[in-house]
Amino acid sequence: MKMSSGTLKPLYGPLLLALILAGIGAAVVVVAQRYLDQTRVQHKSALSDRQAIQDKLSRATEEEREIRERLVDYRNLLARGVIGDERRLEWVETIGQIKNDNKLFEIKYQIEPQRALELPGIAPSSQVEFRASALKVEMQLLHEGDLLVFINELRRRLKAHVLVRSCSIERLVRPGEDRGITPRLHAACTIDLITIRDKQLKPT
Amino acid sequence: MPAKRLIYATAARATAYVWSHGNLTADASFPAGEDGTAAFANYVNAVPNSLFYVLADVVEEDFHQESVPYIRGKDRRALLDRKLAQRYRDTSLSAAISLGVDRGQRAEERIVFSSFTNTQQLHPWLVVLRDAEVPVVGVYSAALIAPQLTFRLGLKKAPCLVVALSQAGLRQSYVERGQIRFSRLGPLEAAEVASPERTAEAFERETTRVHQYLTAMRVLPREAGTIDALLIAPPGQADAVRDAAPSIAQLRLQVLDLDDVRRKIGLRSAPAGAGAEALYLHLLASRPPKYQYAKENLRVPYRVHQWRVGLVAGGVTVLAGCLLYAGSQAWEMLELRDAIAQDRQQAAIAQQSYSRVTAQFPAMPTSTDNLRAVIDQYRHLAAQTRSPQGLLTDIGQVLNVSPRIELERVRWEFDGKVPAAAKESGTAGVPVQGKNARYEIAEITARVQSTRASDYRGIQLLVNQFVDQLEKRPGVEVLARKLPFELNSGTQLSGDIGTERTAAVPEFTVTVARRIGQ
Repeated sequence: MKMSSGTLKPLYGPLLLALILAGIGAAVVVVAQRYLDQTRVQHKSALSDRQAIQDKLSRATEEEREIRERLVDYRNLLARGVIGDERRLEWVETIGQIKNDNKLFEIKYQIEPQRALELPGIAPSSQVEFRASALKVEMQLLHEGDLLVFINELRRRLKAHVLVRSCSIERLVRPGEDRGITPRLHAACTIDLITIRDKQLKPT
Repeated sequence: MPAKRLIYATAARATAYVWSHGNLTADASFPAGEDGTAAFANYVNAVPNSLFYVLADVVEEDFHQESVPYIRGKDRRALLDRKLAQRYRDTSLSAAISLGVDRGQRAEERIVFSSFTNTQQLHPWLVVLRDAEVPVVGVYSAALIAPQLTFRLGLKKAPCLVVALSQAGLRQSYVERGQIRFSRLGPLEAAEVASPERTAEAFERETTRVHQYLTAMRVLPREAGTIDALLIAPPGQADAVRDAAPSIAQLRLQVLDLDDVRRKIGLRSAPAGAGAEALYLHLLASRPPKYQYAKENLRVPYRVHQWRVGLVAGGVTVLAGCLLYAGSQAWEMLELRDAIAQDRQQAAIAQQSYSRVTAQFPAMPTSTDNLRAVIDQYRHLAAQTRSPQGLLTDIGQVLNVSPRIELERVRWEFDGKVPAAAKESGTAGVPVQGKNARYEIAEITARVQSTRASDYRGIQLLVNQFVDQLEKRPGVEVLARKLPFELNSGTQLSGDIGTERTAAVPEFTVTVARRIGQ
């Protein structure tokens, strides 16, 4: 059956109505889908938050044990002066005391400006910063034991963590050239004196 | 919703009925002739928003059964049109009713061809409807509605003869397997209609006559068993019709009162004095039969109406579907919001519990996070921290067992770079290092005592013994050695045999390392 354009004219209104109804339906679906998507995202976030805090809660006992364990180490570092500002004056005095206490020959030293420590596993952050000051030392030694004593004493007495970067020992006197108690070796070392800056450290 | 208007057309007049929910109301009646046609035109124009059904109840109606080849589509349509044109002079009101397919060796379709043979008496009414461009659902015959009547009266497939009195006369229709096979209208004289006795006699006469005709025409096989015959008597005349009913062995007569039939088929009300046409009109309005007689040119407004309804219904269906889908999304959203509320509540409870637990933690000089950061990183630092003491001790012990080697200089370095040349030189003792391996390295410079500078073999032997001793130390790896002379084929080797320089002491260099982290 063929219809003329005049015959089809009465269909325009219903066609328009049908399109409007379909458009309204599509719009409703689109809006509903958008809200549903938003709700899904919120649900995912809420679920993630809940799981995170529940996991944290379930690990609380373990966390307490870890904290107590770390706290012992932290207090040790605090007591040793590793955590906190560097104390150059005390360092200088300690070096002098070590020389005198161990009857060492002449020690020349130089402390470089402080810088951020660069080592694998050490990551600077806004809260915790590991800083190092390079101590350059030149010593006259009777034997290599003097150097080892000096380093061990530094480690034991200095209010910083001591990290020896390099040392060179050179013979001054050949065997058989015995000249009494005079330096036989010369040593030059570079040692990092490391302190930790904790911005959350509460004043005592 | 448009009103359903049914035009019941007989040879004498056309009567307009309005049907709504099982209630049939006579609206107007128009006698045949110009005056009636004009009045009908006024009526049609005065009732917009209506659907028109035309029920023609006239004598001039033909039914002819024939088998045609079983074909489909346009070819079938063309074949049926051709058959109709061959049989009827005027096919403007004709129909081909399929009775089914006989699937024998050659599949054939049984068709009942039917047509009004005097369309002129219906023509004026149809012209009015066409000119008014009102939607005409179709032109029907009472015969086409008879199968539905028998179905509603409980005779679903069995052969059945229905005889009922309408305004136009006594209509007899033979229905088999739910399809019309034959129908005939026997007009009654006015005197016959007025007298119940003569009406009963007319039932007997016409039933006998149509049974004989069907048998003669072999529409009703002689060997066929008993068939049902429904005689629908005018109200209150059932007994009279029953008494006058013919006694034919092949007919199982059942006489029903018209009022009873109305109730059975759901016709709630009908105009007073209406005959069986009320049954046909009700059935036509409630469920029009599949077949009708009008050609498409009369039904164009109805097709437009169908399109309009279809478009709006389609739009409503799409909207409903979208709303349904959006509803399911809204439902899911509500469920998710419930879940979100529960998650947040549980998170808050967990947070409170966590706060209570952490309140039991020892007093801290710093935050938990900083405590972790400080100690974890310090442990890394401590694990890497080395002293020259380890390697110097190893070197000292090897020197103790190497009296002819005299140490000149030691350079120790933490995290020193392994010399690439040494690794590539193939020097004995150089390990294959990992890409990120880190070492403390000591470069030893020593002299070989008590030997001639030109005694290359002796010097090499002593240095090798010294290196072997170093390599035996736990964790010590020899990275490179540099003899006082080069024995490689690619370098120059020179000497002065016979003029020994006693003052020259051969000096060599050995680089050893220990991996950090071992």
